[in-house]
Amino acid sequence: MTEINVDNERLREIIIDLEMSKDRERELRVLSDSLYEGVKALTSSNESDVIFRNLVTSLKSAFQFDVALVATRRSSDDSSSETPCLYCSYATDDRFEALSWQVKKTFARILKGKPVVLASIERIEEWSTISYALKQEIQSSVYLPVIGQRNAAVIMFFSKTQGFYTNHHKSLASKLNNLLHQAILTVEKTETIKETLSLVNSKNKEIESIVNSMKDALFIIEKDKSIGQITSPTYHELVLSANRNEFTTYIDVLNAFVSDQGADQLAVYKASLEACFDEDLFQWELIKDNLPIESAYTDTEASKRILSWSWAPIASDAGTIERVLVTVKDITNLRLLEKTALEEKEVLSIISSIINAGQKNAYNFLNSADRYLQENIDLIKSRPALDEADIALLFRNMHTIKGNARTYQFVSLCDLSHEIESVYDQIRKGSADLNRADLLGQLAELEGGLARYRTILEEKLNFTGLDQRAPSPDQKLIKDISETISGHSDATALKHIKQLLAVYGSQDLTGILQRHIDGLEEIAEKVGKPTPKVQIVCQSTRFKNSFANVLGDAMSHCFRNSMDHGLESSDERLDSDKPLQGLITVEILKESGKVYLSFSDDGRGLNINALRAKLDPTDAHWNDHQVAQLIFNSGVSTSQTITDISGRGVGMDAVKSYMEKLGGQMFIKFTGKQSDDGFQPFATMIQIPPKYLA
Amino acid sequence: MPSNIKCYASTHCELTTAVDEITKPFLDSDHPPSLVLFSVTVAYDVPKFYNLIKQKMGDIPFQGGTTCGGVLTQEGFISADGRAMASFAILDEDSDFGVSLVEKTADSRADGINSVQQAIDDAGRTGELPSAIWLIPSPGEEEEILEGIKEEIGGDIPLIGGSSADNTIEGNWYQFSHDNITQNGIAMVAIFRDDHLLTASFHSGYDVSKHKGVITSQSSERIIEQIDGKPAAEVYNEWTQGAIKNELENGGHILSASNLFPIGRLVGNISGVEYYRLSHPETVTESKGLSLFTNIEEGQEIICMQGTVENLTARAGNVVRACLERDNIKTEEIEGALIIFCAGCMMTVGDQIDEACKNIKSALGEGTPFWGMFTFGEQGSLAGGENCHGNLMIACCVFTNREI
Repeated sequence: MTEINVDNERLREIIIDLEMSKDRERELRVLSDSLYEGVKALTSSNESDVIFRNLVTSLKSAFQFDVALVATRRSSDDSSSETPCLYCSYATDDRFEALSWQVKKTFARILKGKPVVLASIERIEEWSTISYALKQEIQSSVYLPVIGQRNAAVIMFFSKTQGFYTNHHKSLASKLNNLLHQAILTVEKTETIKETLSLVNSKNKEIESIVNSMKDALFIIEKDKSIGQITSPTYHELVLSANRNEFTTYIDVLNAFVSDQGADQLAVYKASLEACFDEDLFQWELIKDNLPIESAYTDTEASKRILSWSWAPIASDAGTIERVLVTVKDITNLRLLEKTALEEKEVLSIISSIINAGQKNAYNFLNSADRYLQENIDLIKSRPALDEADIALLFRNMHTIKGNARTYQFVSLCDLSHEIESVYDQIRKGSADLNRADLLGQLAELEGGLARYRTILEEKLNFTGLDQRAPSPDQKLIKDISETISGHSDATALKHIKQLLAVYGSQDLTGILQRHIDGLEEIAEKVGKPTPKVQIVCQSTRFKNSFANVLGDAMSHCFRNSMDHGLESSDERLDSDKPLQGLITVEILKESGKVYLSFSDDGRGLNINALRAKLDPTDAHWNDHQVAQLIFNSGVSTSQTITDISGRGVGMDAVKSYMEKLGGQMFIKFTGKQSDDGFQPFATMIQIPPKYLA
Repeated sequence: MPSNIKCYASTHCELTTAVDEITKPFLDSDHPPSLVLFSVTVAYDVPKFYNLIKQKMGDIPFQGGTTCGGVLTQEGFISADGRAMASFAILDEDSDFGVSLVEKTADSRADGINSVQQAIDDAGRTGELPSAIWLIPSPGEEEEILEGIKEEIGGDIPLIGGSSADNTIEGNWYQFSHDNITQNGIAMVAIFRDDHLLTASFHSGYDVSKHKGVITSQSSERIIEQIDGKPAAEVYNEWTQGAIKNELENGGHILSASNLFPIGRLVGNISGVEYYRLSHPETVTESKGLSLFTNIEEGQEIICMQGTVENLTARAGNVVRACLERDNIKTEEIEGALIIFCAGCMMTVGDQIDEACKNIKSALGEGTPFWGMFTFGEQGSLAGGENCHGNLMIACCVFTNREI
């Protein structure tokens, strides 16, 4: 080496400083290289052992070690002690690999993140357990702390042949701190990923277990429309039941199980599902009601199965819908049970209504309804073309069935007959076409309903039309005749026998009207009026049974009209200074050898003006009496609304028609003066043919 | 967290008052210092001084020794007819300081080992390598002491020290710590400054001359009998153009006469640039040998160094600058500095010592606290990192707030 003779002290110092700067530059290069190699080491593997091994190798040029050792911290095996221990996890010299020691003062400092250079290991407490032979391998040592968030390690470099480590190495260790920190974070991240994977696997097993034990069919729709891997065993059974081995996409599933709802609806379902993916949960709120709730399909055994569907979105952390969880339940049996329960409930309801109506009344109603129904069926079947009068008759009969059903609160029959009546009404008004098959179908349905009531009456309630507790009418009649003629002359006995026979073949007015009187409370509640009082005058008059039943049916129209139109509401009656409770009077009048039944109420009377307004202009000359008779015309009503009680203007038409069939007459008789607003009190008069009087 | 360094000095004639002046400011503080260094001239009754500060310091660790003629602080060269004392108080909770005081034995190398071990142990950092070593030994055997230190902790640890001195070279020097006081010992501080940079330098203020020779005979470790086969004093007198001619015949002290002409020995070179450690010729022996304040060895090549008063006053600042330039330290990063200034140089520059002090202040930055003592032998780290003992040297140690 060429020696330079520099005499000036200051100049020499400057040159020395320059040279020292070069030394620093070299040091920086070593540091830079170490960092570069260190970073490479970090990216070389995910395994902590490999990372640390590579890290040690990358620091060889910086620390010129004879032996390098990596020790990691663990809690002491002695659970009673909180003193952590360090265990050698990697050593470049096999002899150091089994080392472990408790952390005391010096290593506690290192584990607080302070790099340490030990000039001598002889006096370090932690190293007191190290063998003499190993101590001879260590003249100087440097310790690099590697502190993570959960783990800690110490990288140790031992020098024997390379001389003492200096503060320069300690400084270098400090400068490598970020690298080392990154290393441990990488290790921890890898550990965390492993732990997370382990947790996920564990959770997956739990989910799998839960899914496997689910009785419902469960599957997941992935974003790409495919069916996810997680499915329940029941799902596979469902798939097989559709004669398929698997479904690739949810579209296949919908096609297989929801096609009963039509192609258009199916398209809506598919579009809704497609629209939800990658959208936020708000979108789900918009589309969820567009997804099927229930569907039906036919399984491989040709049985109709009913499925219930539930849909739940599975969102990502960002809140966007990633998948959709679908649960499908076979509710076929449930629906059957529900149906059975419903039928049972309906039977109970019918039983209840029959008991409330009285079994005999129900029996009579069914007989009567059957007659009207049969008449309608015969009419529809026998006439090549139904004219207006035919339709009116159909209507009257159905109106009567409805009214009687309402009276006895046979709700399902009332509703059904009301629907049929509505169809007749539409035909009558020309707003619906007459379809004979449809009409017969409706009547068949009603016939079924009546049969159902009859079956319940006869089979459930054991009622056959006879009072089984009491002696039969025949037995009673014989007994009564026997008692009556005993001790009398033949002529007197014959007279008494005739009287008895008359009684047994007839009904008095109270008996005929009682069922209507009993039904007034329910009608009153429905129309929002107080239940009226019914006054029956001349109860001794009896009517033969053949007429009494028709009269009873006719009276139902009169009562309903009175409740719906004649009697006012409470407020109106108060305004008119009338008692709140209305009064209906039914009496038998005998005039000029003729017997009349008069039906009247103390209501507002007949709206003559309204009826007059319905007159054909050519009949404008009619007097009020003539106008009043219009209420017996089919389709004429003064009511503003149609209810299931009355209002279609057919009740009185029906009553008059029945009476005339039996040879009677029916007309309106005014009983008071007309009010300023055109209302006039009246009575409905029925002339009873004498042959029906007992 | 950066440290807080304060330096105080006093020349008060009343010992108690003087001690109060250099201790009260930090003793009254809410945060007592981590370590205090003291220097005192023997113009005070040093044992009394020691007892007084020991009482006052309580549990605060301290270390110190005697200085020649005065003290240096940011206030300048402070001395009142050779009477002065100063304190260097450092508060640094992030660092550890360990103090030892070892009585010298016949085995100075072992003394060095013991000193550094005890100081390190006292810092609570057994076995660890300190950031720096600060020491005040009694004059003599410094080389052996440094060997011992090197054996224990290696030779690359920044080391700064000065052999304790009296005002008259009569051996009245002292070394002390919070444990004890002695006149023949080694007072040492092991500094563990883990978080902030500490840097040191050690320089002479002399140029090499063309005169050089080889020690061909020595009568003791510190007495050169012959240079190139000729009486050492005669050779030296020739090299210095008669600087010691008055003492050549009968012998005697030549410290003042040799101040500008120390004996240099090559220590090493950096890229061919040589650097030296200096030995200060003390006396001419009856056999025309030269006694020095450092050990020498037969066969060593020595060179006559040469300097001027201007060089000596300037180099104090240069040493500090060299210290700073090594790590590109800016003045705002400096928290304080320790200075070891050769007592011989101080005597040589005479009144120009204030100029030297100004150079130090200029280098450190106005207002930066520093504390210096004048010693009979200096220890420090040379440019190549070698720790050595020398004469007519200036050593500097700078505390910075730069994080490592």
